[in-house]
Amino acid sequence: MRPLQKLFVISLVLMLLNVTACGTVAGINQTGVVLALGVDPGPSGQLLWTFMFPNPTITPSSEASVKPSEEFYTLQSYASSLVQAAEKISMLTDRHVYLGDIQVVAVSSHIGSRELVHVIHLLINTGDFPPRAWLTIASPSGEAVLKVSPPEEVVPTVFLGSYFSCQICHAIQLETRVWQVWDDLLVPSHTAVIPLSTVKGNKVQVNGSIWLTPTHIVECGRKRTLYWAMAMGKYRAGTLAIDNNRVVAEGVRIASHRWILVSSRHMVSRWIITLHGHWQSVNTGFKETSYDNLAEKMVLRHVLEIYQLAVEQHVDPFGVLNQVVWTTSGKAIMPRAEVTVLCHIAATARTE
Amino acid sequence: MILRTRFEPMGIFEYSTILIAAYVAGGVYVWPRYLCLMAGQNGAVALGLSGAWGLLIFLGIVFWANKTPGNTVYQKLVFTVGSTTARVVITVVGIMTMGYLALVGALYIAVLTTVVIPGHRAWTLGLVLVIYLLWLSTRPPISVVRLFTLTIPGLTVLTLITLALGIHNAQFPNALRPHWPMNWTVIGSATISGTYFWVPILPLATAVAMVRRKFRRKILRATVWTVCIQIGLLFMLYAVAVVTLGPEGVAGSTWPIVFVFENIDLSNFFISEIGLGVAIIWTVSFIGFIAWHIWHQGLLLQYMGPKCLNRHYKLAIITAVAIVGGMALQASLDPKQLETLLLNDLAPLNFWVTSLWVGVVMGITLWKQRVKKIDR
Amino acid sequence: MPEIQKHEVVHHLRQATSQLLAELNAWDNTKPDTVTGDILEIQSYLKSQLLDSPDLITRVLVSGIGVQVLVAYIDGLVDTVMVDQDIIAPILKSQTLPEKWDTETLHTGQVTKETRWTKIWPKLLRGNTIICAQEQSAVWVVDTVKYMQRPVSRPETEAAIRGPQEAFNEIVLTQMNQIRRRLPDNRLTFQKVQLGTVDQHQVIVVALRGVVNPGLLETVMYRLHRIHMDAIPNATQVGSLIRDHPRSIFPTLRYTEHVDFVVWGLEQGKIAVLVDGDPFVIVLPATLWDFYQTPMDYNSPWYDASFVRFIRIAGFFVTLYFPSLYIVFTTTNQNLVPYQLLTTIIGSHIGLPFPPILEAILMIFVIEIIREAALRLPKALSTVLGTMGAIVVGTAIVKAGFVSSQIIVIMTVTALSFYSVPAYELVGSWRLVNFVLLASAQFWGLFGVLWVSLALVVELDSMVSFGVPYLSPWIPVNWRSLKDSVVRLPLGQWRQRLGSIRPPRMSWNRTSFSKIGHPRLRYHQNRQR
Repeated sequence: MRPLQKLFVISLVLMLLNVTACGTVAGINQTGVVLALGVDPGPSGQLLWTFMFPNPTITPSSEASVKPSEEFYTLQSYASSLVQAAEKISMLTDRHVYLGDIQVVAVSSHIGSRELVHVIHLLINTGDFPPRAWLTIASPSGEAVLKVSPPEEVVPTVFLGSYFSCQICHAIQLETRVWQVWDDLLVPSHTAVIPLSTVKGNKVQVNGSIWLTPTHIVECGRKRTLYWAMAMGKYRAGTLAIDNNRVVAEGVRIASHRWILVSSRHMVSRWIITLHGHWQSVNTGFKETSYDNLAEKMVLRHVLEIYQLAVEQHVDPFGVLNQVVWTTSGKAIMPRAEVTVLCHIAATARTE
Repeated sequence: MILRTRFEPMGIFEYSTILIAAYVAGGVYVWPRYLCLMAGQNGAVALGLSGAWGLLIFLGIVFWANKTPGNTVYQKLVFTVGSTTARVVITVVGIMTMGYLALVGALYIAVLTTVVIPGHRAWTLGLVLVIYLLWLSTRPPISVVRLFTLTIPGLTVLTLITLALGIHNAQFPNALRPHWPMNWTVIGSATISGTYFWVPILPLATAVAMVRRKFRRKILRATVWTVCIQIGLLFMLYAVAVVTLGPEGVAGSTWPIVFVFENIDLSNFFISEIGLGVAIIWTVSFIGFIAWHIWHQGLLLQYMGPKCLNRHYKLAIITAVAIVGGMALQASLDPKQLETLLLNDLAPLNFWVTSLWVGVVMGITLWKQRVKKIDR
Repeated sequence: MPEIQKHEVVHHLRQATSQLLAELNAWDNTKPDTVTGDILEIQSYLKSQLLDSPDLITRVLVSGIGVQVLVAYIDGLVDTVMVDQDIIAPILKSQTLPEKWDTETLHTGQVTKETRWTKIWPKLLRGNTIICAQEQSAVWVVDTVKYMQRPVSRPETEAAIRGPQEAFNEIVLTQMNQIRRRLPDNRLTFQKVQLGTVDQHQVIVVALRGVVNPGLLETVMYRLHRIHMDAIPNATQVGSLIRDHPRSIFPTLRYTEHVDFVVWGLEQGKIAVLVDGDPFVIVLPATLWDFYQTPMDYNSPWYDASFVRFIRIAGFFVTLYFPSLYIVFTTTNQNLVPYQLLTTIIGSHIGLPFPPILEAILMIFVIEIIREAALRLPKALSTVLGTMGAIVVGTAIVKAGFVSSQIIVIMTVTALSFYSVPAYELVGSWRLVNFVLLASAQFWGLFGVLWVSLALVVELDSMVSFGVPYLSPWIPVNWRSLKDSVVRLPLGQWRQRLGSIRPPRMSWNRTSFSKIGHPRLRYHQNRQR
């Protein structure tokens, strides 16, 4: 090798070593992995950010012996953005706060719509934050929801993260991710549906939802959330009770097909909702057809009721406006809905 | 007969992989935002029209290169339009290509430092890239071509798998429909900006000359297939972005494809960031692609460049690209500004220049053929 | 001066003179090389050249017609029974002139006439017997070579569970016989090249004419003839002088001791180079994929062979990327690890003194030391040491708090995967690449690994082995040869030979299969009908 070549190679290696990734990344012993994030309103326009970390001394062999109360620890700080909050937490600990593994974000139900939209934009625009994290509205507060860890949960799994990940565990599919909420606010419907998690004793329940638009929030209780899930085909493997709970169908799966019909005079949102499942044979003289009719009427009533509510509240949690804008040249107004419910609930297979 | 290691001519497969590499490298992850921003829901129409233009230009060049003698695009151009015009065409298209490479390089670094390795210093990545290219330029060009034959099929499969996984997040299938009435002015502008993939077109003619003689007949068919695959893949990427985010969401995100891929949840598998696959795909194809272009630009400079450069043509090209890329980065790391430069300024220029010179050489070739027939 | 002392002085002088003469002879190549007719002078010349070496046997006889004859041979290298019965006994009775002994007197198979010492010496020293008759300017060289060889045994470095178990031994003639027995075709050629001016090594180039590419054969012969060295001790040295990219860390020649594997290569159009004294035969050209093939691949069902090949490929990726990806995941790109695993890794790293990169390097050294020690020890001890090293050191090092338990798993799996490469010569190459990947992972994270991998592909795809691209049949893709890549198609479906080596005769299988695939069965069924 000629001296010039040697010099070139040596300077190359030195330069490359200078360009290492070491400067920007903390070692594994100095990383604090945030698994969940709570956002609550704070004083003077600031937000209270709660970071939930797993106990770093947990190893596979010690997992069983750690008490649920010692599995996680939380740290809080007031800041107007996530980055600032993470910076403050980094100063409190000897670790680099790593946001890339956040599983769930719990935002307080006391935050208004504009502030909530602002929080979502803050999250999306933070480089380290994973937009695929689950989002939930927390009642009474984000901090309270994070601090409740049901005993069946073992570190490092976060309860709400596991809850929303399991798509066959619950009848109503309410889960939504941060990026979906951000996107729902951009597309013509401008409405995002976010699950509501409430602390009751030492348990967290996900049984409601909120409809978020850039201007206002509509809170939905358990029943309305159920009706919305039926209308949207987000009800799977649940039960359906009719006739004053005397007849129950099991394994009910509701499918929903929605499109826009345009005629020369008017525009209609056409929905076909199909019910599948099995009737539990409860008494003799069981009339499948009549129960089918009852089920159809009940679902139809619920769906129309929830649609009516949406129109009244000027929200569109069904994505009807998206269809109107994308498939027709019509204006973005909620059209009349024509709903057909078809019941295909079969008799149970086991007994007559 | 003694076997010696030498530059091997290409087969059809190698030729096709070069063409496919061109679009992957060309900042494929950047463009849907601009398309949706300009044409909204009718981006698909603009994409189809851009693809049709690309196909026509490719066919034109392949037809001309096949019928014209010469081993490089320079020799072919000299044969067709004479030395002076050839030099003008090569200089203009060469400058556009270098600008394109520099801008795409700057965008690539911007993506890496914003999404993939947030907070990483941009200049260090640029430096590594330049050093890597310097090393690659010492390798024979067939190595880079062979690199494509290994990586491009693998990367295409990886892209398809990622796309298939991305379908899980599809929310708005209606958003893909064309929207009536169409605003053709807007669609036209979007179409022209969408043609930026085909800025670096000169090496295609050289690649045609490098294909083995026995495969020459198949080149035209292979080109059609390859461009169709390119457009098909582009359409799939566009479709996944639009049905996931909606046209408004695509227009609202800085890196729509990266964003869509980043949001694929694979928590049940070991890999937690399939989105990083995007960066890997882009890195592999971009490095190979830029090395191939630097070799080709160096080759052209040998015909036209000043004698004082002696044998350091590749070095000169790399330095030039690095300087322009560095200037672009220095001027702005904002991807939107870089995108505007690429799609709003360079793409229209390329559209007219390429349409003109390809049209002219095609016309001359057809005329010569006709004259020959009449003579017979 | 007393008589005894005088004798001693004369003896010493004679010895000194002969030594000086031998030394001069060794230095001076211009001396007359022809055989003189004086057998006593020849006898003294032979003795002086070998400094009265005790294994040189010379005997002066008188033939049946009264001609004085000198018989000389090297004791131990010749078959003495042959010398006694087939040479000395017939000469003593012979009534013919020495010129006709090859046709009328000597009972042995191969007899040649030589006139120059440069030709005679190597033959004598290989175990031939020379016969010099008085007043004759030529000597008879009789083949009485007794080969001291180990019996043909099982291959030790490339064990196979099924199929032929025949390995080469050190004698080139036996190697030729072994190949000839399996390939009794007159197109099989053995071309001899003598290498080494001192050690006169026989190198045999084996090829199947009509199948081998003439250009390839010519290249091999050209490269062999180009070598001018004093001594070439073994096949590895010969290989290093004729291979492409001699400075590369990647081997471009395959060495094997399996006879059936060499014959398979010849049948596909490859060339084998046999080097006398080395049981490992060079097979060329050798691409990277050739190093992942074993003789057993062709002795097991196609699906089994394909599955094993797939496992080898997986082993290759584990070998290269497992440790470096561990460094990537724990040092620079923690975002790639699922949070459950990341939490566990963080948990198990608390209190450990070393960063992951030092853990990996420490474990590499531990494993290499155990491996090296196990190689040097007797077999019984090495097994014990291997087990002891793996279990005791492995668990103790974790308990001692030097490294985490994850790195033990990773480095053990990596070390095992290293040896899933069938050819040993590639293990060292991958070990070096592994170090480079580790360093790049530490410095530049996942992108470092990516850059090094790309550089590796470019480096490998610019290499060739005797004109065949090193990454063939994948880069450039050779569709015909893909039938013998990761999936080895059933041999019945091979219509043509492997295309990468460009054999002039491509046709391989001309069996006309019926639609159901059983030609004979179908034939009999038709007959019965």
